[in-house]
Amino acid sequence: MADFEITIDGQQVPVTKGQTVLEAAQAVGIEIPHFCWHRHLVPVGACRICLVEIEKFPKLQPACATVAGEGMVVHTDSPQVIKARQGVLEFLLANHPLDCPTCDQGGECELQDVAFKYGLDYSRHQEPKHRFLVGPESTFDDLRIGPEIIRSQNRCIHCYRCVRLVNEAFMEDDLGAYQRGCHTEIKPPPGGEIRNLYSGNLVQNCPVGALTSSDWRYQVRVWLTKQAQVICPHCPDGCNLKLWTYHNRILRATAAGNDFVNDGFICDVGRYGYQFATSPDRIKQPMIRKAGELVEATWTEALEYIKSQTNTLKSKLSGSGFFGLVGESSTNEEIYAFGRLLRRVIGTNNIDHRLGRKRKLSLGRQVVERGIGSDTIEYADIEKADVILVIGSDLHAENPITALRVKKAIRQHGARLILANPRPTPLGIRAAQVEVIYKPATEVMFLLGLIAALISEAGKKPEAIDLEASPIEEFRSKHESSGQAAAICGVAAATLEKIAATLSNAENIVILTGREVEQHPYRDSIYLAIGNLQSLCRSACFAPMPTDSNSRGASLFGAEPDLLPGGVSVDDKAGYEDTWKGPISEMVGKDTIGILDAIAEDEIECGFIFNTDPIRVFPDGNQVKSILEGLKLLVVIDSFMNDTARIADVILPLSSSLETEGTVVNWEGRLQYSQAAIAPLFESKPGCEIIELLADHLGVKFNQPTPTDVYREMIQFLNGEMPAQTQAIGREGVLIKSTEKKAVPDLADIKYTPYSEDNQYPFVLLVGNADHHRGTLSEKNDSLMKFTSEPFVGINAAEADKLIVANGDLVRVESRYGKVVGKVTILKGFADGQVLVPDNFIELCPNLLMGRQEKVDLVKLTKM
Amino acid sequence: MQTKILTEFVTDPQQHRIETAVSRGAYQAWEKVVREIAPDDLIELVKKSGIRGRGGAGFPAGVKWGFVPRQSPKPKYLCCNADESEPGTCKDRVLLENDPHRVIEGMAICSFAIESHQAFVYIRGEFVLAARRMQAAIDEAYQRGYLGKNIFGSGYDLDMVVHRGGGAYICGEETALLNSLEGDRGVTRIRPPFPAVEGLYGCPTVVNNVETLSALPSIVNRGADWWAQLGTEKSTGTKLFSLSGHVKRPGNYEVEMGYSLKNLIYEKGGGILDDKKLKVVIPGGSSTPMLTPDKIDTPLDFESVVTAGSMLGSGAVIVIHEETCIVWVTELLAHFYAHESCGKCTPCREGTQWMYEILRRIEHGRGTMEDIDTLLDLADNIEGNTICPLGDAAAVPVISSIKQFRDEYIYHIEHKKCLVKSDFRLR
Repeated sequence: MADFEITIDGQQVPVTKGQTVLEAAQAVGIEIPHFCWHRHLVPVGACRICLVEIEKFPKLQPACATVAGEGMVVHTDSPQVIKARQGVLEFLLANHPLDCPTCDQGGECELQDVAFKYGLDYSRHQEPKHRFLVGPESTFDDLRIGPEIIRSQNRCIHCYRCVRLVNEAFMEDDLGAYQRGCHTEIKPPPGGEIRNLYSGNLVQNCPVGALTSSDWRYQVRVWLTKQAQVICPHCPDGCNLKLWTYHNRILRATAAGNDFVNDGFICDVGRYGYQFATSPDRIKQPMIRKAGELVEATWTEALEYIKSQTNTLKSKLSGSGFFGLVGESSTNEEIYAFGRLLRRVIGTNNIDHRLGRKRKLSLGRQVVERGIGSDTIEYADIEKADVILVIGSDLHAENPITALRVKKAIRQHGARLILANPRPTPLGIRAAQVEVIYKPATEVMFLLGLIAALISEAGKKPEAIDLEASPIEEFRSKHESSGQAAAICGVAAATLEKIAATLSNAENIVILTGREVEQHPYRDSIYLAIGNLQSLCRSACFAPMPTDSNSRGASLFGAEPDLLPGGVSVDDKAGYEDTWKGPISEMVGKDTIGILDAIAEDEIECGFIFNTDPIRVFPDGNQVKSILEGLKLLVVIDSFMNDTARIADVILPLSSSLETEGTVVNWEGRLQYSQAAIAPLFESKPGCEIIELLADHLGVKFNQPTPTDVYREMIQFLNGEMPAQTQAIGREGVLIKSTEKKAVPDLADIKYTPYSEDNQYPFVLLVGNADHHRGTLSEKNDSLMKFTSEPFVGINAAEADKLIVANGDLVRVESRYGKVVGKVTILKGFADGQVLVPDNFIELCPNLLMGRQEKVDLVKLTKM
Repeated sequence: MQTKILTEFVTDPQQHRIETAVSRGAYQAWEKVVREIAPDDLIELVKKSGIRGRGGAGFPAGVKWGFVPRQSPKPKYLCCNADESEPGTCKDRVLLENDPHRVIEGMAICSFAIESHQAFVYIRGEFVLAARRMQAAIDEAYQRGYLGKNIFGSGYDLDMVVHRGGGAYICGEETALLNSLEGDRGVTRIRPPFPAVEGLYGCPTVVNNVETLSALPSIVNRGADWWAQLGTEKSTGTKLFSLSGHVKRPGNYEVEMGYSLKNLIYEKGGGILDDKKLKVVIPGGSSTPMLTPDKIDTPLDFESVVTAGSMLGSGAVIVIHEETCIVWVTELLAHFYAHESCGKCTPCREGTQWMYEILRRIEHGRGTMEDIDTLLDLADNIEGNTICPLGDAAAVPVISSIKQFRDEYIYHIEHKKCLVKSDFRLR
């Protein structure tokens, strides 16, 4: 809605209050050149290229920093403006090296574009150009300022976008401006490097070729490339990437502007994480195990082999002797088609996707009935929130772009971030108002303490909550007071009261939980406690962050044993049988744990594992391996050679996610369409085509070899309007809303069970992400390995002293289930009795140390 | 006629001690303000006195204080700008070193008027003695209860902090000063918002010059009318002029506004060095246009100097005699500005360096005729197009020297040497 109008170049331009002249002009397509202006940053008016004439102003004004006022008359092309603009451009080019022929930015350089349009074709500058040299011996100014970033200071036009992005948008401090005047140099602090998780955005937002990334440098001219819009496969944030390809090779990834999701930024994991497509681990062609060895085969041989083996087994077993596991990073179409293959063609409901998670796979009855965690939260809600409570999540590493939105909320309207984790996280240092470190596995007690504090806070202001007094009193009588809880969880009662006061004053609370909670043995109790917290606050939404890029899609599109696509119970299968033209098994399906148990008892003898590596991700990997080895037939469909593929009987090469089109659902529940950036590499085939071939060989033809075909059938099982074609899915995607939230009658009774300590295994195992890594795919990218190249075992200095180890010394981490060896890294602010192991590296998989019982994982450390 | 008001006691080497200062009436005005005058009345008083900022721009101090929002929930701050770096200016230093209690008292009065409880004095890094004296004086004032909690039992608290700069001219510009004080890089901020609304840490802030603040105790003691009748109608009171260059007795002279330039140079300053002829006067610090001898009778007040074609600025009168090459003078000034440009905005960062390089070329006999027009055009492209006045300041000497001494430039280019007889240089 326009508030008033201003006149720009004789044109009436509508303006909303607070808009700058530049923004108003841009909105109607009037071009005003600009360099230092960036839509996410506070305008600084430094480059002066956007100077415009405003009537009644004595001097020219920078359009980027001048707030439009009612009745302003602006001229963007008066002689005075043109002279000033050309003057500024002449100044900018005076010391610029004009090395366009060898500059990577050529073709997408803002300085080139502006000079092309507004500049003069001569310069009066005769003096020797000012030159920055890297060292006294050097004749060159290229300086590596980060693992992936090279700075060419001579090209810099001092717009300070990079420094301001680092400080304002990313809230980091590893880049600054040094010296002054024309000697101003952009550098990391002395002795430092720029290695924050968003560093690649600086390259993308540099208007000239002053910051370039080593993956893209001197590869190709930008105008020769093709671009594809892809959804990042690394985490459930669902960022939109633009992949730049040349001759079926991906050369770089940039953030595609999508304000609904990633807001123009991506993290470095997404930016450099396209390199896995050409990883040496890729499975290049089908393989069949012959005489104990995997040997290369043709597609026909492999499919015929599967057909004959399956038919033999099927005549012996019924469908219930089969199972399927599907990875959570697969597309919705693949998941749907895979589920259909198992349920309709093979005749079993033994299918699951929940592999990263351990112990209880499904949420408890009480949680589901109360609808806890099913609120629909969008990125925009985070941006609007005034309090953001993050529990059990290293949000910075797990959901980097969500963390950036949190920072935006803090920056734009002073939202307060409350972090509660068992260990300090980067976001805590950078952005949190309160960072709570609770004792391991005491989340429930922390929340109980918070609830108690909130109840007494509510006592002061009864209008703050809607709940009746009696359930509150009942709850209070049964549970700990905030003081008692504080003693157990190790968080000061005063801190709990401070948080409670913040929460009770807030209008708009967003609660997020992460991996720590998702994989927690007491997950249900934590959820119930959060549900109580929600009831006690005026407006609090809660979203648990899923683990993998398409976890939500997997549960939505039929990859859980008891749920058909669309979240319909298997009991209501009639409609599906019509569409799938055949019967669906009556048998109750088994979940991942049930499947493994059934294999161990020889009830299941044949399995299809699609795009996942249970040995690597499921707890107690050693045992998973020995169980899977007992199968008569194991078919693995995957892009990479992994531990599970190594014990397979048949391997089918799957195209990686960058070679496959399809839709995925991010943590918000937003369904987005991802293009295929390149054609399938090697002999791999996209998932839907492989599944169609399998179905065909096993006796049912669906005639749906492409994701588009599958999508058309798949969407009919979703509630609400869906675009009929994948191509019709817009930038916004489709937000799949959860079912209506149920009214909460009372506060749920919560059980806190302290974990049983074990003298033999004194350390609590925490699992996280290493710097610039996320999940299991990041290890396959050379650029990311430059940031952290190997796994580590993180402990604090006191524990290191006790073990007599220093940084880099080898230790053995041992649990009842397995042992691993890794190098020690001493972590600051880390509590005693905890050990952090990243799960991004194949050499040191923390899942080998975990058990499958509902218990906290305990380990011991021994110096090697 | 009493004209020594601010500098009345600066010659006494004991004046910086609190006993001496108090025995001469220091902190009487402060006590009167705290006990008797309401902040709004104080602002009215200062408005009525007509005192204008002594830092260079000459903005009425009372009006500036009036811009501070009274109802703001944020804390308010006072910053005393003691980053005196304008070439030729050395008036604040005298006050800071020799009468620090006057500065403190002035700062306290201003803080009370704008209801600030935290004042900073940002002292130029090179002013070591000044910083030491100010710190010692603040400590003394705390001991005597003139600063700190519950001053004079009124419930009013005021804390004062000395902050030393890092040696950057630009930090004398108020927004750069604020950035520097916050611990950031000393670069200017775009205005609006003005510091009075959004200044230090985003809170309402008044930035005033040392001399402006030092006048306040006298204004409070003797009344606004007394101050207003000094000087001229629009430029009230007295002003410190730092006389430097080719004069026999350079130094700081406190005179009433409207005192004539001629008298300052020839009576106070004792005339031109070696009784040479006057060539040019820079009346208000290096960033003001030069005045030729025909303007020698100009009265030194804000309006008259503007009418004469220059600016009163900080009151640094730089006298240059006939045997000085104007190209060399301009080159020196251009070098200063190129060196001190903060590098934030393009015209100043690139333009000051470029102008300096051209001037150096001309001065060293490698200039061309086109250079003169290029210089004028570059100066025009800088002037008015930068964030802060440093760009304008750099352009002014170039424009005014070419306008008034074009023939010297041409001679330099044609003959590859200076026009003036001797190249006597004060180095």
